[in-house]
Amino acid sequence: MSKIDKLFLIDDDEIFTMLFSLSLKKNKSIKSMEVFENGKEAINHIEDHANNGAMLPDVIFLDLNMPIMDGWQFLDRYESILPKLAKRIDVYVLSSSIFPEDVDRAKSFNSVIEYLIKPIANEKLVEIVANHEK
Amino acid sequence: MSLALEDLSAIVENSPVLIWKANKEGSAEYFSESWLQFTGRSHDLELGNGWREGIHPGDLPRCTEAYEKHFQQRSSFEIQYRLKRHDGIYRWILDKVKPHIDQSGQFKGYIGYCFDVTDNRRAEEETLKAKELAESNERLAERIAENFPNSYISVIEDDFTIGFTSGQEFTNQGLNPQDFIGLNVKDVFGELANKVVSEYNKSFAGKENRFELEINNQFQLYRTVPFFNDQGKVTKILVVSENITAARQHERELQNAKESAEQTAKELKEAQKVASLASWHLDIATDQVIWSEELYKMYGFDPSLPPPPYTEQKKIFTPESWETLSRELAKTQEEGIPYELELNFVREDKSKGWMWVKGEAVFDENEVIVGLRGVAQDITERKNLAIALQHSKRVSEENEKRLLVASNSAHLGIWEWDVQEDSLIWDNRMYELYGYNIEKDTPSFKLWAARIHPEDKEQAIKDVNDALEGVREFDTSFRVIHRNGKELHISGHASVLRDSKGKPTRMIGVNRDVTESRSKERTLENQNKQLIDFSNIIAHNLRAPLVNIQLLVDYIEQCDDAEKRNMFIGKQRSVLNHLNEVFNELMESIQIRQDKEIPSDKIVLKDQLDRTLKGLESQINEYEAQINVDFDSAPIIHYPTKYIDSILSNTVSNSLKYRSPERSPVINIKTKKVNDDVILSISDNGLGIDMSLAKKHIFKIRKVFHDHPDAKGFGLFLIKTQIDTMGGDIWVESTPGQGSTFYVKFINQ
Repeated sequence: MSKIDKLFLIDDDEIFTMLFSLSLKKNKSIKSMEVFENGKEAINHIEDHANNGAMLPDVIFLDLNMPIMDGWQFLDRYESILPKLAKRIDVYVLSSSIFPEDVDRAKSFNSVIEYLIKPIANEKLVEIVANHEK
Repeated sequence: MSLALEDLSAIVENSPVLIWKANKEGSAEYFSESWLQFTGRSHDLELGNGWREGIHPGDLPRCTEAYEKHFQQRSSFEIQYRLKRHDGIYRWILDKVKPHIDQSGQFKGYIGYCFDVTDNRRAEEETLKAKELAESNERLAERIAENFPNSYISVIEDDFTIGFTSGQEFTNQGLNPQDFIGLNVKDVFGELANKVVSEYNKSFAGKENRFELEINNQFQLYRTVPFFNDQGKVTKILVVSENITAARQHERELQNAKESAEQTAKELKEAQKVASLASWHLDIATDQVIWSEELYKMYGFDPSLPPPPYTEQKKIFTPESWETLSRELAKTQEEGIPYELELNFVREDKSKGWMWVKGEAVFDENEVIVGLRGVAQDITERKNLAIALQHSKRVSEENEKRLLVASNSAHLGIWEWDVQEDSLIWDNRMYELYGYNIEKDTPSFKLWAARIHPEDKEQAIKDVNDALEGVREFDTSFRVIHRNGKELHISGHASVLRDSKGKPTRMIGVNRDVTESRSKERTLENQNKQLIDFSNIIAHNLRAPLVNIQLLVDYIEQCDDAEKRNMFIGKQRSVLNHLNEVFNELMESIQIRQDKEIPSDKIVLKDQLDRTLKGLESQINEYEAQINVDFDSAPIIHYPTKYIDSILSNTVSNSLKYRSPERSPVINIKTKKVNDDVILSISDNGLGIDMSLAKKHIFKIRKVFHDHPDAKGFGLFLIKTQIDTMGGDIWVESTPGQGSTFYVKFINQ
């Protein structure tokens, strides 16, 4: 059975992260989850542990609109350090924005697998878990 | 001694004088025998008013009037009248009328003494007539003299003596006309006398005549007119001789000048043609044609053969040219009219050429056409050159016109730069674009560069050099500061012309004022950006709380745990607050954008800042902030009070909010006047901003760059919106850990 050992949620919206955590906990395939309030905190963590696969996530859910370092800035930095990473990470943009330009822009990043619009259904999560194994 | 009455009576009766007597009432009472004999009437018939019947009816009223008038006054008078003689002929009578006073001085009536003066009177009349005639002759001569200011006027008798002389010309020549009267024409004219007599004789024969004589280098035009007497014979002639020397000389000079000009033109033409002139000659009688070698060469015929028949030449010319030539040749042969034509001909190698031909008739001494001769020349080269020249002139004129139309309609300035001479030519539009004076300023590279915006100058000059070196085409844009201080956006294109070695010789280009389209572009860009901002705000900032509410509602519905459910319900409030806040901010920013016409107030910055700082007093005191103010350079600005308050309070409160934990805040607030603008700077020693992250986002809504609980990302967005609305600018310079400086530009102060 497929599973995700480590999942990062990068989002500043407290209510959303709380509610999203609740729904993830229902999914037994996801072992652990960490929340980062903005892009800067997340990228700092990844850069610090680039060589250490155990400290890196399998999947990242990335919000776009965040203080200090938003989702776009995170992606720029992330892609620049991608070759150094000890592990393949599936990055999903998870945003409340339904603005087509955001969707297109997200797709222009090779590291982004899919653009997901909040909220996401449980079925989608199952699919994501399944995809990760491939 | 006194005479006896009968003696007196005898004297009276025998006197040839006609005597009459009237009584004191004026009535005739006596007529002498001589009167009665003269009139052939009886004494009784004449008495009273009977005498009146003998007076000429035309003279009677005059006589009656005079008689009555003098009778009243008792005065003497004389009167002439016609009286009918016994033979019925009226004779002129001179009547001397005197009052008759007797010895005692009594008035007894009138006595008239009448004399027949008919013969005297005729003589008098003739004298008068002769006088009048002479006077009228004199006037006539004067009139003639007036009309012929340069003329001698004389009347010649039939024996050729000079009877009358007059005219200004005598005076002009220092002669006295009277000296010639009575002289004979033959003596006056000397060796020309025979000629003059023969000419005068034409008029004595009854004809008007004119002839010319040259006397002492003076040209005289003689006009002679016959005078007929009553028998129809010419007894004298009038001669008017006009000096036409001046006119004749003028004519001769004109003729000379004309001839000389014609000669010169002819010589010039001949000289030009002589180079390769071909000629031919046709003798009509023998039908023999002679061609010069040059003509054989030109037509491409064999010079060793006799010239080909006339019709053979048809092949040489184009049909139209042949038709023209044939027509003109026929005219020359039949009427002697010369021709000069330019014809199209075809050479042996089928190449077309132009030929100049000229021909004329040859006349014998009897003016009969006996032959034709002509010349021809190949003028192809010259003609082609002329045509090419004309064509290229026309093309260039058209191009110029087209260019003018294009440049006028497209607001194009056109320039041409002679690179080697470093001379620049501008059209009027260029002067306008750069704000130079067409009268005073001479365009040069330096003059051009002087007007370019300092920020664009280096690049613009580099673009020119790159174009000259062939690195890339000149296709650029730059800003120009016009003489009036306005900034223009100029789009420039140019081509470089090079010599055979590839060295640039000229650069020709156009400048187009794109300011308007640029500013429209910019407005459109701004509006587009604002639209995207709004879309973003709605997509991110409004939708995010909506998603949360949706999720919360889902959880509340699904949740069995009462405690957890209350927690979710509690969370709803904060999401709604958030939603409300975002919505209000959005409304506020929309409001600003619609406040385009918000009026500017005169703001004393020091006072305004004091009010703003008052609202932040507690924080300033708490953080022991030091605030330094320097508004000396621009103490006053014109701006909406609401906006300036917003700008000051947001920037100062940011400086306080993002202060360094390591030091007390120091905030320097300054203004600086730059041309028409005022730059406000708010500088702090706070946390600073990581500009690599903030970049363009710093003034966007809900963008925060500090991990700070109060960071909301609205203040800068708000003031940016306000500043944009007023047409100014805001930017920031910062070094993380050292502090930030915000600059605000207020334009048109």
